[in-house]
Amino acid sequence: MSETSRQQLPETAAPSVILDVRDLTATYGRVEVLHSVSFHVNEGEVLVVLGPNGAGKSTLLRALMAQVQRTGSIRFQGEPVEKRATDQLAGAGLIMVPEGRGILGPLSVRDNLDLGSYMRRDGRGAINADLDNVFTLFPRLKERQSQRAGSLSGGEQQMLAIGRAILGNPKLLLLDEPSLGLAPRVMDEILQSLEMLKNRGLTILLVEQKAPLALKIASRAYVLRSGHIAIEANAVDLASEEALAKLYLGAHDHG
Amino acid sequence: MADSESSATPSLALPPRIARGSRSMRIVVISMAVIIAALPFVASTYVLSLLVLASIYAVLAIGLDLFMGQTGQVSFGHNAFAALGGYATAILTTAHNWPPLAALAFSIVISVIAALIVGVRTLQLRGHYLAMATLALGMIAYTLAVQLTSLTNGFAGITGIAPLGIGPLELTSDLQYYYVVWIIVALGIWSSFRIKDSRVGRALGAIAGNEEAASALGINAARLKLIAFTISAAYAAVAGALMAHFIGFLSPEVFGLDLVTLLFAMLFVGGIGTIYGPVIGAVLIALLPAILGPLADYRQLAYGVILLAVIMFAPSGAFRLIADLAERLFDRSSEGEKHG
Repeated sequence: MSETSRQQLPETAAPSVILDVRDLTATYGRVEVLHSVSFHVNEGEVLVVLGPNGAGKSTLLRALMAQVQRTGSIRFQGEPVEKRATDQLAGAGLIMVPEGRGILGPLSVRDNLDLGSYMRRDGRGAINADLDNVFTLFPRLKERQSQRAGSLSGGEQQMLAIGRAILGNPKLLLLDEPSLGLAPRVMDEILQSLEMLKNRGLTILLVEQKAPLALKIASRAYVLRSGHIAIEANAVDLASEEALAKLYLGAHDHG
Repeated sequence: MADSESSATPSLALPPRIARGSRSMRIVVISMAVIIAALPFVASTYVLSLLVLASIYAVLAIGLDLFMGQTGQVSFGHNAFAALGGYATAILTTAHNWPPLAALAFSIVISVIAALIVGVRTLQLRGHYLAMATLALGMIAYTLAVQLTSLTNGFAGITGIAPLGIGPLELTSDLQYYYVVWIIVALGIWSSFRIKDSRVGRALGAIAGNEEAASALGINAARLKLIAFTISAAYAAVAGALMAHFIGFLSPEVFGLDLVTLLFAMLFVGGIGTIYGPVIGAVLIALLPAILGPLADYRQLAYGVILLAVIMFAPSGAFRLIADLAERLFDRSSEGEKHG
């Protein structure tokens, strides 16, 4: 945390923290990939974690979801959750769209969506309402309900992955590199839908390599480099070209 | 699909949810049922006895397909549950004079319990490690069948196992076994489809597709894998019990490593994960000795060659070949949504 410069943002004057992460360390076997990372996500914001390839961005999300070995403290909605298993975290509303989207190709689009609501106990009515919302957000998914999910285009699969996560009724949506393999125009579409979700009050933690895209909808950003948080900033501050250049050329503060 | 249950075949009274989707699929399933129902009229006694064995193998294969196909796991050890079910039935009906159905119920229960105990630990393993652990399970079962002579009579085996029956009604001919066991196979197919179409089945499919993504959706993968393992062990126990009754004799070799090889051949030749496929595979593999005729001594070689050929040239198995062919023949007009 020593290298991190903290900055209070005007629009989040007294935000309530939905996710508070302290000293999160993640290891694959004996290799430590994340080194004592601390950060927080405010209720209702879109937080972006930027960083070059191999910085540990995906690992960060996987660590939050208990999919890699990790230590540190994680508080979600005030509760310590670092001892919970992946499925329990999802049940609590921490839902991730994983790297590579995790679409089940042989199943139909609709089956994939239904899997999203697998653990919900709040009744068919609420689930159907969310399904309608997803279909409003992504009309193409409605048209292709009975199609094999594997036959969708990359962009549609990303929509399906997000839609499926929405059906889990997330309190915090974790998105791992949604732009991967998508044409800029398709990515714009995805970003628009994320913005809509944000406007409806959904909190989003977005991990992205393509900073200019992600910063369009972000309120705050962290930059992760070599498993450390190098910068924390207002998204607007990072949106300038020099800031981005610094970020990828390896500057350790944002001046 | 609601009309397929009116199919006139007694041995495969298919409930509505089985044959799904297209006309061609319906035709394939009904044809299979008709062929199964009609085969005894043309088969020799030798072939008929092989077909009864095929139906027993089919029960085992459907169960294993639930764990390997639908859930995407691997087990080299389901012969252990077949052995447990078979020996429980053999011992209870001979030494303790239990009626066959009670013995069958007990066989299922004890296999389920064994699967739960074993599965809790082993199913935390993945891939090769799970394969090795289950392989060990089969070897342990085999060794126990050999060594626990006071129960199993070792290599000499248990003889004089009564035929399957309820009270005075006993199955006395191969023909009777044929229809009864094929009805059990139909029930097995039906149950397997019911599971596949259920909430649990979708979750199993998710685990097969991507276990991590599945858990991120809130699916408790460990518990669901255990459920699939346990259900498939129950199928194996039923098959083991049927085997004991049908042959009337049980020795450790019946459930040896050969059985595992056979099962894998059935699953892959027929088409893993397709439910019908392993049944077709069971028939094809069980009939191989008859097909090879004088070359039957080389059947292990034939299994190997066929398995290789299927994996190389038709990796999705015989059922997919048949289904695709039927689709081309009968679904030309519709734009053909592919299944599976």
